[in-house]
Amino acid sequence: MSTKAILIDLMKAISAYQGQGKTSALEAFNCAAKAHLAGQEETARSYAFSAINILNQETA
Amino acid sequence: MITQKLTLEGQIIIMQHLATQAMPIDSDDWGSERQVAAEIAFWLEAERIINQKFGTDIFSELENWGHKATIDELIDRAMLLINMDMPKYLVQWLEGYGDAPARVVPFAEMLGDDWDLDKDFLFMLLTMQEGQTHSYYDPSGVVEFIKAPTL
Repeated sequence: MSTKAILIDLMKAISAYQGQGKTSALEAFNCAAKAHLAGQEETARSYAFSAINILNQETA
Repeated sequence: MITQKLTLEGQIIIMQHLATQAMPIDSDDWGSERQVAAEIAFWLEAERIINQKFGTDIFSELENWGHKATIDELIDRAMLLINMDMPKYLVQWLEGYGDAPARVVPFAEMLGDDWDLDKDFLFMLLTMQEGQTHSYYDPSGVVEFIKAPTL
Protein backbone atom coordinates (compact mmCIF):
# COMPACT_ATOMS: atom_id res chain seq x y z
CA MET A 1 0.00 0.00 0.00
CA SER A 2 1.45 3.36 -1.00
CA THR A 3 2.09 6.09 1.57
CA LYS A 4 -0.41 8.28 -0.23
CA ALA A 5 -3.11 5.60 0.00
CA ILE A 6 -2.37 5.20 3.71
CA LEU A 7 -2.73 8.95 4.20
CA ILE A 8 -6.05 9.04 2.35
CA ASP A 9 -7.46 6.16 4.41
CA LEU A 10 -6.10 7.80 7.54
CA MET A 11 -7.85 11.06 6.76
CA LYS A 12 -11.14 9.21 6.21
CA ALA A 13 -10.70 7.52 9.57
CA ILE A 14 -9.88 10.79 11.33
CA SER A 15 -12.86 12.51 9.67
CA ALA A 16 -15.21 9.81 10.94
CA TYR A 17 -13.64 9.73 14.39
CA GLN A 18 -15.28 11.77 17.16
CA GLY A 19 -13.07 10.87 20.16
CA GLN A 20 -10.57 12.87 22.19
CA GLY A 21 -7.44 12.02 20.22
CA LYS A 22 -8.68 13.69 17.06
CA THR A 23 -6.45 16.78 17.33
CA SER A 24 -3.33 14.71 18.02
CA ALA A 25 -4.14 12.40 15.12
CA LEU A 26 -4.59 15.43 12.83
CA GLU A 27 -1.24 16.83 13.90
CA ALA A 28 0.43 13.53 13.12
CA PHE A 29 -1.35 13.44 9.75
CA ASN A 30 -0.07 16.95 8.94
CA CYS A 31 3.49 15.89 9.75
CA ALA A 32 3.08 12.77 7.61
CA ALA A 33 1.76 14.82 4.69
CA LYS A 34 4.68 17.27 4.93
CA ALA A 35 7.20 14.43 4.98
CA HIS A 36 5.48 12.67 2.06
CA LEU A 37 5.53 15.81 -0.10
CA ALA A 38 9.23 16.24 0.77
CA GLY A 39 9.90 12.68 -0.42
CA GLN A 40 10.66 11.38 3.08
CA GLU A 41 8.59 8.22 2.88
CA GLU A 42 9.94 6.50 6.00
CA THR A 43 9.20 9.55 8.13
CA ALA A 44 5.80 9.96 6.53
CA ARG A 45 4.82 6.37 7.31
CA SER A 46 6.11 6.71 10.83
CA TYR A 47 3.88 9.72 11.46
CA ALA A 48 0.95 8.03 9.75
CA PHE A 49 1.25 4.97 11.98
CA SER A 50 1.48 7.24 15.02
CA ALA A 51 -1.85 8.74 14.02
CA ILE A 52 -3.34 5.26 13.51
CA ASN A 53 -2.10 4.24 16.95
CA ILE A 54 -3.69 7.31 18.50
CA LEU A 55 -7.05 6.42 16.95
CA ASN A 56 -6.71 2.77 17.99
CA GLN A 57 -5.84 3.68 21.58
CA GLU A 58 -8.80 5.98 21.86
CA THR A 59 -11.24 3.43 20.48
CA ALA A 60 -9.85 0.51 22.54
CA MET B 1 -13.66 15.88 5.37
CA ILE B 2 -12.01 18.26 7.80
CA THR B 3 -9.44 19.91 5.59
CA GLN B 4 -9.80 23.33 7.21
CA LYS B 5 -7.88 21.91 10.19
CA LEU B 6 -5.01 20.69 8.04
CA THR B 7 -1.75 22.39 7.14
CA LEU B 8 -1.16 23.25 3.50
CA GLU B 9 0.71 19.96 3.01
CA GLY B 10 -2.18 17.98 4.47
CA GLN B 11 -4.65 19.84 2.28
CA ILE B 12 -2.57 19.15 -0.82
CA ILE B 13 -2.60 15.38 -0.18
CA ILE B 14 -6.38 15.38 0.22
CA MET B 15 -6.95 17.65 -2.76
CA GLN B 16 -4.76 15.44 -4.97
CA HIS B 17 -6.98 12.54 -3.99
CA LEU B 18 -10.23 14.47 -4.55
CA ALA B 19 -8.94 15.70 -7.92
CA THR B 20 -8.22 12.15 -9.05
CA GLN B 21 -11.68 11.05 -7.96
CA ALA B 22 -13.33 14.00 -9.71
CA MET B 23 -11.77 13.28 -13.12
CA PRO B 24 -14.05 11.19 -15.38
CA ILE B 25 -12.64 7.65 -15.77
CA ASP B 26 -14.01 7.40 -19.32
CA SER B 27 -16.81 8.83 -21.47
CA ASP B 28 -19.41 6.65 -19.71
CA ASP B 29 -18.30 7.93 -16.32
CA TRP B 30 -18.56 11.58 -17.39
CA GLY B 31 -21.69 13.00 -15.71
CA SER B 32 -22.33 9.81 -13.73
CA GLU B 33 -23.64 9.99 -10.17
CA ARG B 34 -20.17 8.99 -8.91
CA GLN B 35 -18.27 11.51 -10.99
CA VAL B 36 -20.65 14.40 -10.24
CA ALA B 37 -20.55 13.72 -6.49
CA ALA B 38 -16.73 13.51 -6.57
CA GLU B 39 -16.48 16.72 -8.57
CA ILE B 40 -18.76 18.56 -6.13
CA ALA B 41 -16.64 17.33 -3.21
CA PHE B 42 -13.52 18.57 -5.00
CA TRP B 43 -14.92 22.03 -5.82
CA LEU B 44 -16.29 22.62 -2.32
CA GLU B 45 -12.81 22.17 -0.90
CA ALA B 46 -11.01 23.87 -3.81
CA GLU B 47 -13.15 26.99 -3.50
CA ARG B 48 -12.53 27.22 0.23
CA ILE B 49 -8.75 26.77 -0.09
CA ILE B 50 -8.32 29.14 -3.06
CA ASN B 51 -10.49 31.80 -1.42
CA GLN B 52 -8.49 31.50 1.77
CA LYS B 53 -5.22 31.75 -0.11
CA PHE B 54 -5.87 34.33 -2.83
CA GLY B 55 -9.29 35.91 -2.14
CA THR B 56 -12.65 35.36 -3.81
CA ASP B 57 -11.81 37.22 -7.04
CA ILE B 58 -9.33 34.59 -8.08
CA PHE B 59 -11.76 31.69 -7.65
CA SER B 60 -14.50 33.50 -9.58
CA GLU B 61 -11.97 34.24 -12.32
CA LEU B 62 -11.02 30.55 -12.37
CA GLU B 63 -14.70 29.76 -12.91
CA ASN B 64 -14.86 32.28 -15.78
CA TRP B 65 -11.74 30.77 -17.32
CA GLY B 66 -13.28 27.31 -16.91
CA HIS B 67 -16.21 28.08 -19.20
CA LYS B 68 -14.00 27.35 -22.17
CA ALA B 69 -11.98 24.51 -20.58
CA THR B 70 -12.50 20.78 -20.10
CA ILE B 71 -13.04 19.33 -16.63
CA ASP B 72 -9.47 17.99 -16.66
CA GLU B 73 -8.01 21.39 -17.59
CA LEU B 74 -10.10 23.16 -14.97
CA ILE B 75 -9.14 20.74 -12.19
CA ASP B 76 -5.48 20.96 -13.25
CA ARG B 77 -5.64 24.76 -13.07
CA ALA B 78 -7.29 24.62 -9.63
CA MET B 79 -4.58 22.24 -8.40
CA LEU B 80 -1.91 24.59 -9.79
CA LEU B 81 -3.34 27.35 -7.56
CA ILE B 82 -3.69 25.05 -4.54
CA ASN B 83 -0.11 23.76 -4.84
CA MET B 84 1.40 27.16 -5.57
CA ASP B 85 3.61 28.99 -3.09
CA MET B 86 2.65 32.66 -2.87
CA PRO B 87 4.51 34.09 -5.90
CA LYS B 88 6.51 37.31 -6.10
CA TYR B 89 6.98 39.70 -9.00
CA LEU B 90 9.54 42.23 -10.06
CA VAL B 91 7.43 45.33 -10.74
CA GLN B 92 8.72 48.14 -12.92
CA TRP B 93 6.83 51.37 -13.42
CA LEU B 94 7.65 52.20 -17.03
CA GLU B 95 5.59 55.21 -17.99
CA GLY B 96 3.50 57.78 -16.19
CA TYR B 97 4.75 57.06 -12.68
CA GLY B 98 7.77 59.35 -12.56
CA ASP B 99 10.98 57.69 -11.43
CA ALA B 100 9.41 55.14 -9.10
CA PRO B 101 12.06 52.45 -8.46
CA ALA B 102 11.43 48.84 -9.43
CA ARG B 103 10.75 46.52 -6.52
CA VAL B 104 9.83 42.93 -5.69
CA VAL B 105 6.19 42.62 -4.63
CA PRO B 106 4.46 39.54 -3.20
CA PHE B 107 1.20 38.60 -4.90
CA ALA B 108 -0.71 39.00 -1.62
CA GLU B 109 0.12 42.72 -1.60
CA MET B 110 -1.35 43.16 -5.08
CA LEU B 111 -4.73 41.94 -3.85
CA GLY B 112 -5.05 45.13 -1.78
CA ASP B 113 -7.14 48.13 -2.80
CA ASP B 114 -4.00 50.25 -3.29
CA TRP B 115 -3.18 48.33 -6.44
CA ASP B 116 -6.69 48.21 -7.94
CA LEU B 117 -5.72 45.62 -10.57
CA ASP B 118 -8.40 43.94 -12.69
CA LYS B 119 -9.22 40.44 -11.46
CA ASP B 120 -8.59 38.89 -14.88
CA PHE B 121 -5.11 40.46 -14.84
CA LEU B 122 -4.48 39.13 -11.32
CA PHE B 123 -5.51 35.65 -12.49
CA MET B 124 -3.14 35.92 -15.45
CA LEU B 125 -0.30 36.99 -13.13
CA LEU B 126 -0.88 33.95 -10.94
CA THR B 127 -0.99 31.42 -13.75
CA MET B 128 1.85 32.75 -15.93
CA GLN B 129 5.22 31.00 -16.10
CA GLU B 130 8.17 32.03 -13.95
CA GLY B 131 10.27 34.62 -15.79
CA GLN B 132 7.35 35.59 -18.03
CA THR B 133 6.44 39.29 -18.34
CA HIS B 134 3.08 41.03 -18.58
CA SER B 135 2.39 44.74 -18.77
CA TYR B 136 -0.57 46.50 -17.22
CA TYR B 137 -1.94 49.57 -18.99
CA ASP B 138 -4.11 52.07 -17.18
CA PRO B 139 -4.82 55.80 -17.67
CA SER B 140 -1.83 56.66 -15.44
CA GLY B 141 0.74 54.73 -17.43
CA VAL B 142 2.32 51.31 -17.89
CA VAL B 143 3.50 48.87 -15.23
CA GLU B 144 5.50 45.74 -16.08
CA PHE B 145 5.32 42.54 -13.98
CA ILE B 146 7.93 39.78 -14.19
CA LYS B 147 7.16 36.59 -12.27
CA ALA B 148 10.09 35.72 -10.04
CA PRO B 149 11.42 32.15 -9.96
CA THR B 150 10.43 30.14 -6.89
CA LEU B 151 13.46 29.61 -4.67
